[in-house]
Amino acid sequence: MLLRATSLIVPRGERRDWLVEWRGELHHVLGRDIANRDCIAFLLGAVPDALWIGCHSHSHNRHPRLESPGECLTFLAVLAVATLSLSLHFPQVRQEIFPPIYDGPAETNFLLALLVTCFMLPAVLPIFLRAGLRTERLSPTMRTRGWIFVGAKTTLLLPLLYCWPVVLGQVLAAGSRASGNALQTFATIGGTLFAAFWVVDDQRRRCPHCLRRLTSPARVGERSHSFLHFSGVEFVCAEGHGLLHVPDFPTSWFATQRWFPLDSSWGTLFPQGK
Amino acid sequence: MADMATEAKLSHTAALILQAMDSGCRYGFSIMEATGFPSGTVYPAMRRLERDALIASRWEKQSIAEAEGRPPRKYYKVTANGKATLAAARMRYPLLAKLALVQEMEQA
Repeated sequence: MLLRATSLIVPRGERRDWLVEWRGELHHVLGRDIANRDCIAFLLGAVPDALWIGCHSHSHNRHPRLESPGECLTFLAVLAVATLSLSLHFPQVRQEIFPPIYDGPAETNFLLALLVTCFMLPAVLPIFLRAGLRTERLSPTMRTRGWIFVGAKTTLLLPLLYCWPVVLGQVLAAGSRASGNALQTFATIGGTLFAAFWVVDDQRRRCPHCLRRLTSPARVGERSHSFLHFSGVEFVCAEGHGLLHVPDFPTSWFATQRWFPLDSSWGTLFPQGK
Repeated sequence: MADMATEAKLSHTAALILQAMDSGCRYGFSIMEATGFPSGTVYPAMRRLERDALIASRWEKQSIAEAEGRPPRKYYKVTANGKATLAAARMRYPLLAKLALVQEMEQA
């Protein structure tokens, strides 16, 4: 199950080979009669390996990890379940996270951190998810689906944002209540900011039609030739729905990223096509 | 000068892994046992070495795996470029050269 979940990080074109390789090694490791703890330690090494492949993939049909909305939500769900399971293993963490009374310290820290983050968010990232995108051709259904996807990602991240600061606070500041609470609060604020940034950034890098991650980034233009020229990165939807142009820096004629939809005449260029 | 330009500079960890492969360890787990590094270090390092063409990987024959009733494994081999880079790394890391000498004596 751990290998399957980790394989979602590996680009689709290399996933099958990666799984076969790790299963082959795991079969050999299990046959060597080593302790369960060492086996788990061996398996945990699959995560940095998958991350490395995900960041350095050179396959022709390169797809970013977690490309489809289903894979992204599945990965977040597995993380949420793993976090809750891990939290239940520590008695002191379980007591903090699921206290008998609602008004426990974990909830207070979490709500306080959320409040602080709400004030900080407008200062660190744009509020509107699709600022600058030309969305007039999107149907209400597509817009609703986009917002539902954002809501689902946020909901699945909440257990991580709630539990991990408690685990950190209990483990790193064992014995000191004040230090533990402070660590929880700061960890929640930092984690929530990072999560908000990731949710917005991930949504911006997805096709508004199919919600798949945009692929094949290509540099366009030169930064030194910026007068009435576009300089930035172009992403494309693997299913041929359109192009996203992201400028290197805002100019008066091209301030923020723009989505250029492609009609069905471009379909022959995209093998996964519409 | 051209040789210096083409030989990649290895970290100590990568050099140890390359040396272990040159000594006869062909699979990821055997390299882990030989070097003592965890899997999270060994496997990404092997990917980097393969990307830099210092090692090459092959799947073992399906018939061998089927005969032994297990999934096929991937094994690795040091390339000619890898041997040249390893030789340069031994000059850079004297302890590596000593380790190579000890391993040769043990195998003999």
